[in-house]
Amino acid sequence: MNVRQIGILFIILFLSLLVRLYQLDKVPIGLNIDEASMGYNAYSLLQTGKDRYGEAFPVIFRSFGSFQAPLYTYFTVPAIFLFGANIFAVHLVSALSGFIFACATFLIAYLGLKKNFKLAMAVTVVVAFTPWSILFTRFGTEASLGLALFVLSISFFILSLSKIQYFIPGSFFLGLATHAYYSERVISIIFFIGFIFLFLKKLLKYRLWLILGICVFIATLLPHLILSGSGAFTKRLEQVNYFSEDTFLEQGKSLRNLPFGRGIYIAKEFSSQYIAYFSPRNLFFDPDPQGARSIPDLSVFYSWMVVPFFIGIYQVFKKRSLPIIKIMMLVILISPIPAALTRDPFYTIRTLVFLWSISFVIGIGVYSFLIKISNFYLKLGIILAVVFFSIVSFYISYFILFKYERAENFGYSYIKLLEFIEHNDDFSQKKIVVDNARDLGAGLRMAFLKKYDPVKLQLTLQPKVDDMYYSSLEIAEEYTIDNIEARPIFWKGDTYKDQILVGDDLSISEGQIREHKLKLEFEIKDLTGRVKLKGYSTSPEEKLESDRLKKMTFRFTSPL
Amino acid sequence: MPRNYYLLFLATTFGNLWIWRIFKENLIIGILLVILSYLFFKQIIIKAQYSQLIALIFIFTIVTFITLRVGFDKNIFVTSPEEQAQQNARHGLYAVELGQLFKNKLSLNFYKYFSSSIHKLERNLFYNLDPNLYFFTSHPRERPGIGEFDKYPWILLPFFMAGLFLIIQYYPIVGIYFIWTAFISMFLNPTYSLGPALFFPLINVVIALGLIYFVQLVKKKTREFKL
Repeated sequence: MNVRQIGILFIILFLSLLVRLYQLDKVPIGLNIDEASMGYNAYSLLQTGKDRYGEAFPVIFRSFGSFQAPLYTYFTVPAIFLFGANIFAVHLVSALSGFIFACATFLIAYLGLKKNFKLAMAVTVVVAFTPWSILFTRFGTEASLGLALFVLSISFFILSLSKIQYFIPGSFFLGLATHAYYSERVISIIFFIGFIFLFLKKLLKYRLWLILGICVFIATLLPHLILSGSGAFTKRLEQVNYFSEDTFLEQGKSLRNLPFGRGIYIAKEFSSQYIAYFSPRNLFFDPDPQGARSIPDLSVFYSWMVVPFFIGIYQVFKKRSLPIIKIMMLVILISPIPAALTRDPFYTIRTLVFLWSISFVIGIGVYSFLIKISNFYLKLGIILAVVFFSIVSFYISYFILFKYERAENFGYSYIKLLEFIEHNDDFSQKKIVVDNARDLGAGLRMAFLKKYDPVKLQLTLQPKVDDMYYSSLEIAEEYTIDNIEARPIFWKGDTYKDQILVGDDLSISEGQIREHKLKLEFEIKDLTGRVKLKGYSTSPEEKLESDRLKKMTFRFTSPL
Repeated sequence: MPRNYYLLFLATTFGNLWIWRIFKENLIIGILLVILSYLFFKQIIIKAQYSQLIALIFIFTIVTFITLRVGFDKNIFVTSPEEQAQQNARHGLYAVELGQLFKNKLSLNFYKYFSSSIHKLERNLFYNLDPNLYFFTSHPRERPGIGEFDKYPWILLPFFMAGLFLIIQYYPIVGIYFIWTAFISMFLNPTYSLGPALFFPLINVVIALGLIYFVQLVKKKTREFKL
C-alpha cells in the first residue's frame, strides 16, 4: 500500500470510530435492561470483586432469571474505572468493538482478495457504515463484542493460510468469542470444524500447529464445561426455542395428526426461520420487529444495497475457488443457524456475524458494479448520490426517529424520574414506590446511575440465590435504592403508608386513583412530550376513613 | 431435451396450490401464466428462440395489463388516518431537529406528498422479493391485514435454491424478466387475490431447473455406482 492509500484507510477508519463515539450517551439516551445489568455488575465487580448477587467473578452472569455471556461485563470494568458509572462507559465497549471489526474486515478483504485496495475499501466502507453496524455498536450488547472477536479470528485464520503460526491466535480469539455471546457458542464451533475441513490438505502439512491450535480452541471452551450440567448453560435456548411439545400442539395445525408430525413441524419452522434471514424484504426494507433493536423505517441495510447484493452473490459464486470466498460462504451458511433455532422472527442481534458476511458480499457487489462504469464523472455522481442518500436517511432514521421514538426502550422516563427525585427536595426524602411491571430493569438502572453501594444490593439479592447461582432458579427481584423501591405496587398495603406511588396509566388507573384517594404530585414526560409516568401521593388517613365508611354502608345495606 | 424434463416442469407448474387458486380466481390469467412459464422454460433450456421470445413478451404484456387493471394499489397515493397521525408527530420532530433544512418548501412538499408513496412502493417491491411469501405463506413475518395463502410446498425450497444458482449462468433473460416483474409488482396491491402472479413463471422455472439438476445428479451417481 502507498502513502495515499494508507491515508484513505486512516480517514475511513477514523470516521467509523467517530460515527460510533458521536453522542454515544445521547443516542440512545438511556440503558435497556441488559445494559443496566452489565453496567451494574461491572461496577459491582470493580468495587467488590463480586456481581450484584454476591458471586465472585462468575463464569456467566445471572440476570433476571436468565444469563448473560461474561466478556462484555468484564470489559466494561475498565471503562467504568476510566469514565465512571454512566451510559457512555456501558456503550463504549460496543463502540470499540465496531471499530475493531471494521479494521479486521479491511485486513481480511485486503489479504483475501489479492491485495486489491479498492475492493478492500469498498468492503470496509460497507461493513463500517451500514445501519446494523452502527446501531449495534452504539449501545451495550454482547453481540457486538462477539462479532469483533469472531472477525478478528477470521483475519488470523486468513493469515494462517500463508503463515501457519497465526492459526494459534485465530483459534484463541474464536474460542474467546464463545464467551462473548450465545450465537458464537454455536457458530464458532461449526466454523472451526468447517475451516479445518475446507483447508485440511494445507493444515495437515503442519500437523503440530494444527493440533496446538485445536488444543488452544478446546482450552478456551473449558469454562463452558463448568456450566454444561447446570441450568445456566441452556436456559436462554429453553426460553426461546420451538421444540417443545406444547409449542407443537399450539402451532402445529394439520401436522398434529401426522406421524412424525412434530419432527416435520420443527424442520419446517427451522427452514422458514433460516430463509427469513436471507430474504431481501427483511434485509433491505422491513426492520426487526423488536423496537429496541431496530431503527424506525430503516432495516439492517439501505434499500439501494439490494442491487449490489445480487451482484455480489453472482461475483461470490464466480470466484468460489478463492480461499476467502470459501470462508465467507461457510460463514454465510452457518451464521443464521443459532437464530433460526429460536421462534423470534428476524431477530437481528443474534445474527450479527451473518449481517457482517452479507455486508462483505454487498461490498464486493458495490466494487464490481463501479468498475463496470468507465466514465469517471458518472461513477463519481453515483457514489455521491448514494452516499448523500444514505447519510440523510440514516441521520433521519437514527439520530431523530430512533432517538425519540425508541427512548422508552432504554428507560428514558425512569432516568428522568430519578433526576427529578434527586433535584427535588420535596421528594428526595420521601419513600417512593416505582412500579416496574413494564420495565423490570427500572430499579437496577437507578442503582447503576446512582452508583448504589453494591454491598447493600448483594445483601438483598444473595440470600435469594444462595448457592443456586448457576441454576435455572427464578427469583423475584426487588430493588430498594435508598428511598426508592422498584417493584409491583401492592394495592392492599401500599395505600396505607405515607409514600409516593409512581407508574404509568396501566399500572395506576383512574379508578384506582379514586378508590385509594391518591393525589397527583408530578408527571414525567417521554422524549416526544407525552406523559409517561405519574407520581401520586397516598393519603393513609383518608383511605382508612373511606374504608370505615364503606364498612358502615355495607352494614346498613346488608340484608342480615 | 429428454421428455421427463418436460414432465418435471409440468409437475412443478401444476403441482402447487398457487396455480389452482389463480385458475379459480381468473382462468384466463392462469392459462396465460402457464403458457408464459412454458415459453420462459424453453428460452432458458433451448436458448434464444426469436419467435418464442416475441410471444413471451406479448403474453407478459397482456398479463401485466390485466393484473394491473384489477390489482393496482390505489393506497399508494392515499394516506390513512394512522399514517397521517404518525406523519404529523414526526413533522414536529423533524422541525425541531432539522430546522430550516426541513422547514422549507421543497422538503415540506416532499415529506407531505411523496415520502409516503415512495415508502409504499418500496414496501410492495420488497414484499414480493420475500422467499418466505412463496414457500411459507410469509411465515414467520406474516403481513398484517393481508390474507396469506399457500403457494409452493416448502419441501421444494432446496430445489428452488439449486435452480437459482444454476440460473445465474443464464442471467441476461432471467435478469431482464426479474427486473421488469419486480418493477411492475411495485404497483400491485399486496392484498391482490392472485398474489404477485407475474413471479409465477420465474419461480416455476427455477424450481423445475432445480429438480432437473437433482435428477441429473442422481442419474450420474447411479451410473458411477454401477460402474
